[in-house]
Amino acid sequence: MCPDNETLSAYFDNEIPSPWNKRIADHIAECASCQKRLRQFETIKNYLHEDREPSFESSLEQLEIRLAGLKPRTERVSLWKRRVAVPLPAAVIAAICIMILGISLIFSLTRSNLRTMSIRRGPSGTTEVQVAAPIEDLELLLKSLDTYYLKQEIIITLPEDSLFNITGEAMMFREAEFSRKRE
Amino acid sequence: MMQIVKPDFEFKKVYETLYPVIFRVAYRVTGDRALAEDLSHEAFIKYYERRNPLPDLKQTKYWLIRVVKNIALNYEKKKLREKKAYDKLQFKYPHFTQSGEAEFIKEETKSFVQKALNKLPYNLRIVLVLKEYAGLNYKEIGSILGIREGNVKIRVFRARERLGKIIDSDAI
Repeated sequence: MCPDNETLSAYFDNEIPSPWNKRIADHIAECASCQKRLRQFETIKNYLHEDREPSFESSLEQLEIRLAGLKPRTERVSLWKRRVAVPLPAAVIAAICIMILGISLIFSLTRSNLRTMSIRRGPSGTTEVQVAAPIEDLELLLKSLDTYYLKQEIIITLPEDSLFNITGEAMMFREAEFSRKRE
Repeated sequence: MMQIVKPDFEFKKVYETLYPVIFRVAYRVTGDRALAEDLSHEAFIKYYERRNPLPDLKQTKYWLIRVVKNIALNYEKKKLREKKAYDKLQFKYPHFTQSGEAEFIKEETKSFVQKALNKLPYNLRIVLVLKEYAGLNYKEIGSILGIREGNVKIRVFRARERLGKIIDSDAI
């Protein structure tokens, strides 16, 4: 049985997959009618390709001239893929700064904020107590001293060395301010 | 985020490689050299202005053909509207001719094959042009035209059949 016209045309264009193309080829070999139809397709194809087209060279030159007059191309680049040119010395300085900042952050986080303060009973007091109290809880320390040593004069000696937080602000100063606000 | 990309070697390679095939398709679809040039230029300028260039020449070729096809289709519709208006005008005023001589010369300079191609309706002409002049297979044609492969198969055959008849009748 002869393949339909569309299938034969597709066969002519090598668009029929295996094994069907083999079967069609076997049929065509013995079918004069299909051979004739194929020859017609061949004639039309030759006809289309024998015809010469106008030359495109001058047109391509015109395109080049038009392109030269256009603005430079712009490309959308994602923020994460965007590259920025930085001079090498500036990059090295920035890297060092980041490194110093990182190390100081790690150091300040791991460093204990428990500072030793000495408490004396006075003025003629004979005992001196060493208390390790976190600076952040200064308010709590004062309250507890108020409760237990209500009638006694208490002298608190703060740590002699200064302590600053990562932003450079004095820790004690910050806490004192904070306490006043809470009151 | 915008970044300036200078006209580079890559783009030069694109138009030097693909211009012949894009121009050929544009010419075969429209049958007009000047129009084919305009269409091809417009397609390449559109590609040039595209912010993200396509990864390879194959993809670029499909993209450019799709652009040419769309512009050609718009032109085809415009031509049809103008023809209708012209026919209407000629029906009212039988002696009215709009640059008739120029049109005649234009038609005469076209090859016999191109004249036959121009007689095909657009939807048949475009599949045959893409098959024969752009070297695309049915799947690629279907993808560019947004139709099924089976539909391409039918249209290619009908275009061949119709073209055969046109050539036979014109040859007589």
